[in-house]
Amino acid sequence: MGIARIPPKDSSPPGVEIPQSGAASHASQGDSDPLRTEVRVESYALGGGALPHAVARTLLDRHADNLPDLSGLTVLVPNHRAGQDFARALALAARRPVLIPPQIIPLKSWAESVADDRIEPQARRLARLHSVLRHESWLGTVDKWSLANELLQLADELSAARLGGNIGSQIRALRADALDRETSLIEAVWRTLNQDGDDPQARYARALDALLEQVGLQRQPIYGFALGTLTAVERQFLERCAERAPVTLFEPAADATDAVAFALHQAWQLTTPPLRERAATLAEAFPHSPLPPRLTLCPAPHLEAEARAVAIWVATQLQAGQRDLALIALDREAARRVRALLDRLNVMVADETGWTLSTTAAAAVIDRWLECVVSDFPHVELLDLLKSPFVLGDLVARQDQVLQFEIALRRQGVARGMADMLRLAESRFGELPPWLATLFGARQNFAQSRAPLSIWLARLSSSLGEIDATAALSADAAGAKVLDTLDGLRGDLDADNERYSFGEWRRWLNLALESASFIDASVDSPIVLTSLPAARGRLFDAVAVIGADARHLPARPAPGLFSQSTRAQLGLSTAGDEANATTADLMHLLGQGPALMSWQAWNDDEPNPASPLVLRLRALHQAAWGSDLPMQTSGVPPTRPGPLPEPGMQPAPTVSAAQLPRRYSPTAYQTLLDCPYRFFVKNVLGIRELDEADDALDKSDYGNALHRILKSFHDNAPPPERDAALALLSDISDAEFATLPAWTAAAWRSRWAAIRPAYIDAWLDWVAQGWRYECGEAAFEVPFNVPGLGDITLHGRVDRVDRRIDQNGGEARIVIDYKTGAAQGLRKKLNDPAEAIQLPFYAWLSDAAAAYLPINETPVTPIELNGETDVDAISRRLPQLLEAIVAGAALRANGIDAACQYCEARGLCRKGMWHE
Amino acid sequence: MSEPLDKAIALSPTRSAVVEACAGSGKTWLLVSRMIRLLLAGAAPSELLAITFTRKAAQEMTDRLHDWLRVLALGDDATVRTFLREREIPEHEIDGLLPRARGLLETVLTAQPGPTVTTFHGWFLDLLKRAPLEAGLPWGAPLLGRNRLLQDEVRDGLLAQWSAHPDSPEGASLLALLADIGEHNLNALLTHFVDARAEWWACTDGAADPVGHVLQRLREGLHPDLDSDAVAAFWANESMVARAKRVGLALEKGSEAERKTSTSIHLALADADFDRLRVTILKKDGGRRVKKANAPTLKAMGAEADTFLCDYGALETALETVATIQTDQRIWNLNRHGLLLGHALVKGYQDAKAQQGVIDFSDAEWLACGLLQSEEHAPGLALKLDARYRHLLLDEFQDTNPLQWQALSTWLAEARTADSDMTVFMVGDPKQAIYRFRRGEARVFNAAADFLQQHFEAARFSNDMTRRLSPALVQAINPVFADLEGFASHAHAPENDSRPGALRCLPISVDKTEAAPAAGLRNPLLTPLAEADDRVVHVEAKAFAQVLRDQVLGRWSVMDRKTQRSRPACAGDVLALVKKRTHLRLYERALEATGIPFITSRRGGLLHALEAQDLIALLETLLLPHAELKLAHVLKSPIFGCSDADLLQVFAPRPPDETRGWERLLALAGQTDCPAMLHPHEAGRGCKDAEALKDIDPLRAEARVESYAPATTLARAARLLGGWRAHCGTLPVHDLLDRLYFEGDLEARYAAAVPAALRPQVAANLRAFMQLALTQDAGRYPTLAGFIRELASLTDDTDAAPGEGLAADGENAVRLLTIHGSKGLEAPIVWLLGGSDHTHSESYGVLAPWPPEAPRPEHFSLFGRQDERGTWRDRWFAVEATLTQRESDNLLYVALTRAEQGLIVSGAADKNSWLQRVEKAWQDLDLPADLPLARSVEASQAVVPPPRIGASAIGQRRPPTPVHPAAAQGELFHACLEHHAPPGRPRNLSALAKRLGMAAELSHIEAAARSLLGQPHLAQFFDPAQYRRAFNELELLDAGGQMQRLDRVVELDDAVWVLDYKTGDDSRALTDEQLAERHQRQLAGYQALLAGLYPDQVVRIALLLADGRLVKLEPVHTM
Ligand code: SF4
Repeated sequence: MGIARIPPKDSSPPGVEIPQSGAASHASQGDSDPLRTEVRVESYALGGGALPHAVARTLLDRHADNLPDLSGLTVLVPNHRAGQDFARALALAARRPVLIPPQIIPLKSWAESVADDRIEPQARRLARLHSVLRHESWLGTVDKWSLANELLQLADELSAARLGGNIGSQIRALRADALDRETSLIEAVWRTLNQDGDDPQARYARALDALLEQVGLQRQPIYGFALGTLTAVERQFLERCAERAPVTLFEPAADATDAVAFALHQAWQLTTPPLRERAATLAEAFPHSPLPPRLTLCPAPHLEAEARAVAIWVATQLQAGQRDLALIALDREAARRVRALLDRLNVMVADETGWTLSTTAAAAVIDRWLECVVSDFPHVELLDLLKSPFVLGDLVARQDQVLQFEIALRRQGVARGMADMLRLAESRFGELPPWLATLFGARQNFAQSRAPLSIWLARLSSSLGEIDATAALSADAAGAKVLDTLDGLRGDLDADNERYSFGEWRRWLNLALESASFIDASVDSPIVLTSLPAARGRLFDAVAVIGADARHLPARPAPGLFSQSTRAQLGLSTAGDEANATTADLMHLLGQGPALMSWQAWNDDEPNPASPLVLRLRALHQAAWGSDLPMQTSGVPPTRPGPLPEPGMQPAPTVSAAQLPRRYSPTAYQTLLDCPYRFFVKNVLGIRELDEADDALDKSDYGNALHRILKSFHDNAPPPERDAALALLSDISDAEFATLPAWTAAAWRSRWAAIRPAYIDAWLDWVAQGWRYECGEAAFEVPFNVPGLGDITLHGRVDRVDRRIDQNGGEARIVIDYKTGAAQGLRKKLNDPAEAIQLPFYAWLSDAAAAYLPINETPVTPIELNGETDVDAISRRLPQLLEAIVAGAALRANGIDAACQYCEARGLCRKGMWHE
Repeated sequence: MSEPLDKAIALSPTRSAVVEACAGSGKTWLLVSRMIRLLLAGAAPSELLAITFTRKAAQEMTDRLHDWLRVLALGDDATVRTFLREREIPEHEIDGLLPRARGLLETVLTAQPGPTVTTFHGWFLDLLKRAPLEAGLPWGAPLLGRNRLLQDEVRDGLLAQWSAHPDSPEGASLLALLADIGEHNLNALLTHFVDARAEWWACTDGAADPVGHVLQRLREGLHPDLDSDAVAAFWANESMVARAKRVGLALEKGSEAERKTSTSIHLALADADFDRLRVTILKKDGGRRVKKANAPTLKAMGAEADTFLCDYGALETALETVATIQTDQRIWNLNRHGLLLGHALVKGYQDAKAQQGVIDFSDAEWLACGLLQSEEHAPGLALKLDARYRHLLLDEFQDTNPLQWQALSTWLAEARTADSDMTVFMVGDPKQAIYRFRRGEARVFNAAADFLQQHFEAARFSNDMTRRLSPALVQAINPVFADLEGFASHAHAPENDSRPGALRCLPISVDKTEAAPAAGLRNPLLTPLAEADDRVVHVEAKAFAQVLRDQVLGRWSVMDRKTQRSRPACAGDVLALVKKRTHLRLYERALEATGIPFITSRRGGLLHALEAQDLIALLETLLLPHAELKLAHVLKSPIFGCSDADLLQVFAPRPPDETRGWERLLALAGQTDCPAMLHPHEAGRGCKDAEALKDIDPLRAEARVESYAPATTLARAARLLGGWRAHCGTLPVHDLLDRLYFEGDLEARYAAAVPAALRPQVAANLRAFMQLALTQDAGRYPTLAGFIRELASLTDDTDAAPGEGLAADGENAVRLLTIHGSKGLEAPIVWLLGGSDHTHSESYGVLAPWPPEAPRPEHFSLFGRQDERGTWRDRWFAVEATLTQRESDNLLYVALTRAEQGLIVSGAADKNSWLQRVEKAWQDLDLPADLPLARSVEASQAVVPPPRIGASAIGQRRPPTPVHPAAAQGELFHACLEHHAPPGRPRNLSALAKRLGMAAELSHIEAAARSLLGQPHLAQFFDPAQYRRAFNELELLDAGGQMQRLDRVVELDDAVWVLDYKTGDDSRALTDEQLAERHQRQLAGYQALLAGLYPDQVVRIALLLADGRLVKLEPVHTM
């Protein structure tokens, strides 16, 4: 007895001897066989069919006498779905109403069925390892959780690679080289975590031993196919099985009966003889390429094009009657895009690839909640939470209030803090809305003292209960998975007593949510989105490989602690092994039916090379048949068409008298001058921007503060002595800035401190000219009647009004506007007062002289409006314009670029998208 | 020095070589040819390491390598021979190498690992990933995407902290600097410091007190006495005061101006006003006056004149000394405080990254360089790499920075000692070094060349023959750069002898006087304001678009790269270049107005594009429909295409009506005459695609009606917005967006709304936005609000903002790029747009000169305003200035050499130095201004529109199965039966109970199950003595391939029984008849299966309930 292994056979040149379809077997010696047993090798020509079919036929042939009872036999399959496909193939080949099937099972599940309970949960091993690492000071800033994770994986891989005590010495042998740190670490880890037999690989090995006993008792044949890369432990198990019972492993063999498989084999599994010779042989055997009807390529210029090409290919396959389609998601993003496009057609795709939990909406809710707890309700996270359907009961019921609350937060500039929010909510709603009360209560109850991981999880769990999240999350498939995972971890970590702070625990939690995934099993569809390993051994009508570029195919291993050569020395699988397995998987898939290989030939602005497999296949094809493979073109995804919008035009709305405002400030007037359409948006429609709550204080806040300071200064009747006045101004300023955050206060104080003396000097100078302060923040109003519009009010508020009696006894007044902009700019503005109407308009409203007082540079000098300015004409232009508007003049969007640059109405005016 | 290129030596696989290669001379050709030569000579693919400057260049190199290997593998023998011959393989070796040449494609493609073609950063990151413990890295540290964001966060945090503790050293420094240079300059200073952190680390590496270390070295160059009050010392110096007094007195008798001076001196002395004295004696800028006094005055002084001049001179010296001390004091203070804060800021930034477990490019560079230079770790590093590099190919080496070169040279020197067969091949062009702002240093090229000559006996060549530029262009470019140091006249490639070229220099000037204001006040309703500034750029932009449209496109004939035949120029042939992005918008507008399609890559411009803003506004509206501006914005966008009249309806005041905005929109849409309220059937009627709707799933029924209803735009908006809002909390952003695109028919609507010239870019941006959502979704803890926030913070992040979508190649549009962005590109026609360039010198920055051969910067200090730099550092500032000038020359060189045949340079006639330079160089050359006119304009091929994707629905979404306790109990009971009924089938009951949340009930249920098994009336099924054979959970495969699982099958003497357990509570309430009825079909199926197995026996079936009730079903006679 022994293992019968059916290996990929090197080229059997067509025309020589083609083994017959079915169970033609001959023995040979496999010397390079990693199984290292004296095995009998059987070769099968799997003519025209996929592996599962061939295996099914063989099985039925060999055990025809037992039919319909195949119980007792075992067929090892790569995964459960492959098992289902195999069962179907078996039933199909048997043509009987019923079969007692063999045991069809993946090796892991078989072992699991007899595995013992002796296992330390991974979470606890991780925690245990971490608690050691966190005290290793030489590790420095290395993130211990990630390191522990990596080490644990490696240790388990080592366990799986070889059993027994020789790992330690193997590793130590390596230490002769300079890999000191890694090897000492991993050795230590392996010794502490993987030597007491509680690690999963040890348990697996024990289970396999138990199976071995069963096999020995029953001595029934075992079959297997497409098992992929086996670990040493698994190989050992099969070898030992073979001593007790017949074991037969099937692998696809390349032969010339299946043209496509043969061509792929020639392209991907051989490099000798030279390409052109292989091509010539191929062309001789098949004068016409077998590939074009079967294999299509799609080098797409960008992601969307790729997705659309795949989508139209899928549609074509469906129309051609194919049903079971595999979409191999090498490029996750493109694959998701494909799924969304197919979704538009109601072509549903069952996604077997899953999501890491951390990318689910459910995990986001937990994250936001924890952030609210730890940072005292930052408004951003709080609002995210309030708008989530997963917490606090019915979302619709609170929706309006939440929106009001959000606007209030923005308007009041409350960025965080329960206390402020409480106040705001109470003033807004009269009482604390229940949703807010619940959150605040739950936060109070969330203990934040250092604690073991399981206690933290318990705290989280009970607080999720408090905010009504548990039920809602459980009702969501991903949410339920998140809760389950956390519960499971909590149970696993019961015995772990290492204590952690909130921050450390959250890091752990992030890692935990990152390492588990959720698979949406709710879609039933013959079209599956899956990975290469998960597709292994399964049957499909057609296959699309999405992302067949050099980055994804074969996948590049992430650099780990050990280099590939070190891994090879230790008997771990290497990148080369993985690449071979990938190629084998791919060949099997592509051999089954129509196939597409797509990738983005461009990524951003960079060329994105195709997979070496694609390059090799194309080269072979070119050499053999002088042509390239067919290319898949892209399609247009369906939409819900409706009447299309008009071409964009420069807007020029007209408005009626009823729609015009009744009050006009200089700002409104200036807006009308700058751009009538902007006036339409701001003053006719009355649309304003909302403030962001957490926007840093800006230039305008500084200006406002100075305005307040100066008003207060002058209201306080400052003494006309320099030092005393300066002292008063300083006191007022300090008091004003004291309420600000430390840095802003310091920066503003410092900036203003440099100006203050100059301001006082300028003021004393002003006083010396006879000017006296009359009032600050003065409002002026002038009623006006506009034909067609009726009575309106022109109004304005000026910063300061001063008055003096001149030598002739005449009284003069001047209105002063403080400015924090540059004096040069202001002077430039005043060169054309007809376009910068603020000062003339003030002068007209107040019937006084007017001046800007720039207070952002020294010396401080007022800039007065030229006395010649025709303020009356300038001001009366506004009512004239209004009259024209009422009479039907359009409010055209005609701002100059400088105005448009910061125009909040650009989204409405759409300058830049106009047809001429 | 370098010699003309000898390809045979340069490509020889056993020699090292340096090639300085001008633009368009075929650097990539050389590099890749050399790779092939190496491979042919037997180098393993993994022994090749090629490093270039951008990922794009690396990818292009890989592509080229594969292409050529394909030629070698597939070409006929003659082709391959020619190929090898062109790459200087000696004739007698060619035949012997053929087999190897033919196999190289597969050798390379199957190599594990293959050749490494990467960038410095890529290589560094790879090194670090393999040696994280040595580098002391956060584990598996990913690259931080948003440096600036984190830097700003850290800075704001620290500033707040420092200013809250004014007594701490940092607090004191902060206040001092604030008072001294102000917030704005402080920010600039700190930003520059953080940017120069690698230099800072290099300077202070190993120093216990980095700040002190650097300060100490600075101190040596400054005036020895910085602590005392120089001004006070001046006044205290009585003899000096006396001299001043004498000078004042002497001038009293002079001219009127001199008398004024005299008064000023007296006043200054009286008030002890030092500044006044200084500006009186010295010139305003601190320099000395040529004439200390008028000749007559001096003459009048007679013998006193000498004393006067002596006094004056002494006074000048004294004043200058004070000024020097004052400046040095300012420098000292700036550095004392600035370095302290900068250092603390960098530390804070590093800590923040460590906290997040990320690194940035600077870290990668610094750490990797440290590793490569480390005596302890470098040897071990080799073991961790999967590849042993033996042949290094360096591309674009002029953009390398000194730190990179330090690391590389150390490593090379070591490697060469260990392996004398190692070769290095370096290409680059110091004339094309334009990355000073990323710390690239052109001089490194020469340093490296010297090093390679010395250590690797590298041959050194220069190649000044360009294959890209046509003869006329070469002729035009040579004089522009003739004065440039190290510039050798270029020659054109012989194969281009007859290729035509065209050159234009277009100075733009504006008539200043023309802007006379019209009489009277402007009426804004009729007359727009004239564009004020940058009139030159406006004029230039207009000329740009018009010349292209009227004289170039379709008229000039250019050589097609693929076909090598001439054809009329199209928009895709034009590359328009700008130095800075400042005026990009204006040029775009001009192209828009002229209807010329174009693509810009305003770096980070995607989120500024109007269509992207529309989408953001849409998402914001979905979250917060009360944000009026956003709502109005979305309504006006092509997504909804509402008119201004519509907006008036929604927003304009209506006195009795309090609502506006969202509420009013809903109300309007809800009015009975609004088509939104039509019955679905009516709404859908008349729709041409109504048939297609049949298959749309019921979930979307509402949306379907919406988009097919002949509704007003407002009603459509209200319905769609309302529908989408319902999906906000639950759908991932990408899926939500897809729904918006799909139901909103976005792409078609935008195509209809925007002018044709904009379509390619708009379509590309819509795609890019979708892709952005896809990438964002893959991040941690995504929410829609989070996505919007991320976009908002990305919008103005110069480093991380996503670029605009690139329209696919083949889309025919003018490319409008910065010169930096055009690196590596070429085009038949290049237009260099100049506008009016202003350059202002930098202030409040870091001076860290790093000569290429030095191990670290030779100096590190901060500087302030132009006039406060002192004198000691002049030599370094001078070098910086030269380098800056050189960089500007290089930029011009890069810009001009992108062109193959047509080159147009425009800019402000009086303000643009490049334009002036070009104009001067070309003035006497009589260059052709046009390319030959194209003969016929070929009819453009009709573009076949791609087919629409269509398929009928398949698959379905299963409603979630609710878990209720009764079902769980049933399942557990079932499992207990399975476990305990002989022959038994062991189940892990406690684990199952735990999973079902019924651990507490297990013992109870298990007991119930066992007691059930013991019930006498069931004995014939459960007592082994009473039956022949029994199976639990018998699996059978039916003819269709479905696995059927029978709870229990019992072979009795007279019949075979199938027992089906119905252990859930819900069954108990039903009568036997009801149960039989309910399970009839399922059981009939079982029966048929068993009949297949036991063809000769009677098959009976029964249901077994948890309470022991057995419901026997009548045998069904099938077939
Ligand atoms: S963007 Fe310009 S044209 Fe449009 S409304 Fe604003 S200012 Fe007017």
